[in-house]
Amino acid sequence: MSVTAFANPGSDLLIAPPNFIERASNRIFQELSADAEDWANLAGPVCRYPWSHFIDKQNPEDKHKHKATLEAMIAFGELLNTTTSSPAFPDKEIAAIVTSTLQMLKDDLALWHGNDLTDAQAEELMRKCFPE
Amino acid sequence: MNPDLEALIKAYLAWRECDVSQRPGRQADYDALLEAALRNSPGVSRKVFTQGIRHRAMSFLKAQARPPTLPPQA
Repeated sequence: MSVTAFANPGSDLLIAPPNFIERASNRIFQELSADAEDWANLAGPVCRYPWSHFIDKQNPEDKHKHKATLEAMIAFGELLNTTTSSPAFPDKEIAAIVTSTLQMLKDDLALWHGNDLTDAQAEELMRKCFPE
Repeated sequence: MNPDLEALIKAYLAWRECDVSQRPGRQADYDALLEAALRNSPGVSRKVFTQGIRHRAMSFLKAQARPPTLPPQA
């Protein structure tokens, strides 16, 4: 559907037909909310994947696939977050879910594919911070 | 295990394993415990501390998933 802009009498600005922006925004927000919910639901299985595929047996191919999936999920989440974090986005519940899910995915990327600590270093740190 | 650490690990896992609609609230619970733990651990960066928590959470889950070492009584 194309929309023709027209000149607003008394002004030299161009405006769209009445209600166009409101209708289009509502449609986009509705579709985005549905996609955001689907994306958030997909994050659970992605985060559980390492436990069944490479936690005990280091399988480079599975690990590589997991990293690529996480990166794709994070990239899409950042895209969603750009809109859902806007004050104009009406569904605050979805906005909070997007933020939290994005953080969870980033956490997993750091845990499985970018951890600086060895197991021994992590153990030592936790013993120091949380004495028995 | 230190009870504060256990509470932190359980909050971390609850955030990751809960229903999508509960995710923001669970994350807030975890973040509150994390901030408190960080205040009690001066000199430790948030990034390194969080990595330690994740390691411990993995060990915790592994221990839970491990089958019993003794077979059940016949």
